[in-house]
Amino acid sequence: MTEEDTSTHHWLAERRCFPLIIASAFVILSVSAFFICYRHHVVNTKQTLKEDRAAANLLSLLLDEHLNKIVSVMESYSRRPLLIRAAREKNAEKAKTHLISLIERNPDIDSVIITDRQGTLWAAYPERPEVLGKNFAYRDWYQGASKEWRPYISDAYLRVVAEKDLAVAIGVLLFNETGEAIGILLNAYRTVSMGNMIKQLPLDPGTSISVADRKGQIIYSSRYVYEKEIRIYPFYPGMKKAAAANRKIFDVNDPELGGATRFISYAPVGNIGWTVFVGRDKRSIFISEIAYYVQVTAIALLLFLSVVVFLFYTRKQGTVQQILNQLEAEKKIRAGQERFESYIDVTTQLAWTTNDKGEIVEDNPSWSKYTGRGYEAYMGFGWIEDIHPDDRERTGQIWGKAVAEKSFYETEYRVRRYDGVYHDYLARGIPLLDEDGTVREWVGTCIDITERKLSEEALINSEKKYRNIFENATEGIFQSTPEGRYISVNPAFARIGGYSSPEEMIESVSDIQKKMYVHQEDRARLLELFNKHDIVTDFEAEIKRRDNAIIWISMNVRAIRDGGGEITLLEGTIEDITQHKQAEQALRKSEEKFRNLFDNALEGVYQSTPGGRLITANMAFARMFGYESPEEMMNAVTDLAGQMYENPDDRKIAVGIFREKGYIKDFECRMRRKDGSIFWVRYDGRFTETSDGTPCFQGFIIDITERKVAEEEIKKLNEELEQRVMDRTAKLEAANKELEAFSYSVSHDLRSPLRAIDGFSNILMKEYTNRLDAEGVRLLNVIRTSTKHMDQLITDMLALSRVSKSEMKLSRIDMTTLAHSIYHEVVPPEVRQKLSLSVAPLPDSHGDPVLLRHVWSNLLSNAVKFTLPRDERRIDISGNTEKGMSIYSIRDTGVGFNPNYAHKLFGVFQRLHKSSEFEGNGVGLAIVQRIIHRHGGRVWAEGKINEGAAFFFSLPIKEA
Amino acid sequence: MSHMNEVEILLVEDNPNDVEMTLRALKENNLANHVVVVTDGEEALDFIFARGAFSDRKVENGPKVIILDLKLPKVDGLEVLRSLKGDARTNVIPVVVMTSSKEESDIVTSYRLGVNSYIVKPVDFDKFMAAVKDLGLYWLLLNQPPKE
Repeated sequence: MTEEDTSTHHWLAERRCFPLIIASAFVILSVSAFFICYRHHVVNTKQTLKEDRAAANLLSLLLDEHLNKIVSVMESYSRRPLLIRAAREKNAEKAKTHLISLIERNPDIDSVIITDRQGTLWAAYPERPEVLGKNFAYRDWYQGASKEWRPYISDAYLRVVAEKDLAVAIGVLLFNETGEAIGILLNAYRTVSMGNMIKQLPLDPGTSISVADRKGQIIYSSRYVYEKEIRIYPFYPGMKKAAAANRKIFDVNDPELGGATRFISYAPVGNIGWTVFVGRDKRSIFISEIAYYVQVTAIALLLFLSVVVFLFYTRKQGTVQQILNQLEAEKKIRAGQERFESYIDVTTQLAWTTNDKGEIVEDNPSWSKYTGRGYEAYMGFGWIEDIHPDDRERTGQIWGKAVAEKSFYETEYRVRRYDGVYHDYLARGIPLLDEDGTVREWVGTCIDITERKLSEEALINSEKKYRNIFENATEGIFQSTPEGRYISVNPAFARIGGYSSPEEMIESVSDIQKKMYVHQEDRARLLELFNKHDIVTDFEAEIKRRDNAIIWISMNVRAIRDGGGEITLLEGTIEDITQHKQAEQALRKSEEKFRNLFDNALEGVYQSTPGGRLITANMAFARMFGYESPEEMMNAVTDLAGQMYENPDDRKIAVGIFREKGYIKDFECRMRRKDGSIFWVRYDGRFTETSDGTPCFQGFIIDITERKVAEEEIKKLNEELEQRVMDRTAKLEAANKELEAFSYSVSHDLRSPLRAIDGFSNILMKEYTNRLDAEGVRLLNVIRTSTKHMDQLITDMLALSRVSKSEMKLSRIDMTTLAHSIYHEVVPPEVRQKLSLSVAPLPDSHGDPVLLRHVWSNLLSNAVKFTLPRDERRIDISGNTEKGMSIYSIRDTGVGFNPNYAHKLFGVFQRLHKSSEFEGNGVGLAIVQRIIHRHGGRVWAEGKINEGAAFFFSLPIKEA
Repeated sequence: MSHMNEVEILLVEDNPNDVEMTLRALKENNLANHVVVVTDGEEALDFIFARGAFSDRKVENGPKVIILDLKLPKVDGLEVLRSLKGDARTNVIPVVVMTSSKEESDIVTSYRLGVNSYIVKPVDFDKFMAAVKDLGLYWLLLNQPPKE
């Protein structure tokens, strides 16, 4: 909640304010409710009275109408000529008919009479003989009617005949022809019927209706008994007054209602002088308003309740807030208290006073606070109970003594705090004396000395601890004089020095420099250092143990000086570092070894920074680059890329590789020597750190110039060779082209002359036969034969060249089937009958089917050709595989050949037989050999003259 | 040269010996009445497409058969064949290649271009005569060309 909210609710929460607010709310609501009710009452009364007046007017109109109706009815009879005539004659008998008719037709009329002009009754119905002839001129109805000879309605009167009830007389006049009144037709109208009529009207039940005549006599009343007596309407005079004042309404105090107010509305009935009264009890208005009042009250109550509830709620909120505020305040108070308490805790001062007898007689808040006990508890000597039981007696004695001697009081004791913890206190007190020397009171303080006690204890403890450290430390600790004697040493130092105890060591080392130091100048050196420094750390020296063994020690020494700056004392620690020293030496040795390796390596060894400086280089490296020494080189080279690389971008690339991979391998580039000459190197390396953490590249480098030169040469040679091959190929291709053109020409052009020779020699022979002798014909035939031979040679030559040229289309071939089919193809059936052929299963081959067909066809034709002249004619085909080759053989029993010429068999145009013996031109086997060679195989033949021949060819086996 | 429109055989051959032997063979079989001989490819094309010296010819009146050598001066036989078979007016004319070449490539190319027959000129005279005779008889008498 904000501050504002709090203040808003604050006044609500006030104890006195709250009922006041509720009371105000109640008053306001009550007044409002009352006012509303009052307003309602006024309006309602007005309205009701207005209604009453309207009712009165309405009723008067009704009555007027009713009476007029009766008058009209009667007048309608009075004008009947027969009745008039009867009236003239005063013939009762004649008139009777009309009277009966009048009564029967009009239930409101129950008795009629007729009088003459003078008021003498001469006819009546129902018949009343006793009054016939009687004069009624004294009656008001006669006086009224005769006054102006107009219809008249009388005041109330009690009927004397029949039922003796209240009635009014309604009289109309009978006129003769001349307009002269000759009689009065009178009706005694019973007011009961009028009352019945009025009762049927829907009038407000809270009202009373009365009708009064000219004299104020009640003609009808819903309230008063009127039927049997003539009674004056009690408020008639009031009406007269009101009418005089022109007020349409007036109020009266109704004695019958115990004097309660009654409102009366009134209205005159036509012009007959009657008055209609509508009375209303004032209380009835109230009663009708009760429901409304109840509603208003209920609403007001509800409102009030809501307000109360709201106020309570708001108050509660405010109270909660108040409580919270209170809590907050309390918290603050508590914090303050705590702070105060902690002040006490901190200062721990207790102040006290006692009377001259040493009794506490005043409340001591600081004591209460500290001990947590009330004044009652520690008054008098009760405070002694807050002292630690062990201290009580002593304290009591000292206090008693001080009081008795009136002397300064001081003691220490422990006082129990409220939480049961005892604190040490130093209590001091002095007596304050009056002039006469008597003690007025004692005043004093108690000071908390717990802390001090504790620190005293801590000091003792720490001293113990340091002593402990001194005694048990593993490091040697010593104090010595600058002159060279030990003042104190700890057991560890004694141990390091090989002495059995510190005492023995202090005793026996009379001169530190002589007894302890291996190199006596070391101590002088140490002392010299103190000219500049107060503390010397890590001073290393070799010392002699008691058994003369030499060890290495390291010392941290501090010089303690007097006021003049002279050293009075040396103190420090000492550590045996012999092992460490040995390890160091070993390390140095191995480092030397590596250094040696590094210096004398044939390969260049380097360390360089990514920025481009050399960190390390060995001799080989420096020499490689033309420097005298690594030092010279490292000083000279400040920008590796610019100074050492022929192309500085090479280093960028190398650095990139180092960074990306972390290492580099076989990086080759051209470098620049000190003298500017260029050479090739190759280097490896790793991206790592130097011992002090600088990132660096380190690795080996070798001069590969010689190899590079060799490589270049090889490359050059290769290029030349390639060029040469290309030249050759081009030449070869050209030659091939030429050859092709040549073969084409041969096939085409060489034939044409042959054809001409043959053709024309033929024509010559045919057309000039008769001029040629037999020898001429024979010569012509020789020409023709030679021509054909020539043609055959050309054909075979072309075949041979085609075999060499054509592209091979390799596939797997079933050689057994092929051999069979070729045999059947090339050997005519009649020849086959003369031969016997055996074909052993042959291994499949891998080759060009067209070319291999040619091989088979050629070899089989040959075999057949050379076998036919023989008696035994057999051809055997077989095959086997050997050393990755399939070998096929065709063996025949033919004429054979001289094995001396076997090598000539496959030459072009080589024939071993005369052409007269066997056909052929010596190209067939050449083609066979060409084909087999193209397949990577071999062909050869075996045979002897007349002993048959065997032809072999081999083809390489190709894995599928 | 009205007879140029009634040519039955166009012989394209540059070798006069072959021309003489061919004509002789045709004559022996009474087939040489309407033969025109041209001796190079260009002339052959002029004749076929009625150009140059043959411009008064009508292309539509083509010969019944063309005997074509492949090795020709100026425009070679395969070129002549290609032009011939590539033109809608002339591609129905039967063409018989008669050449000394037995080259497979020549044969294949010729057939690819749509040759109707390929005959290797026999060196043997008798066979040559027989071949020409058969050729003439077949293409001029037996063969039924499409109606115009």
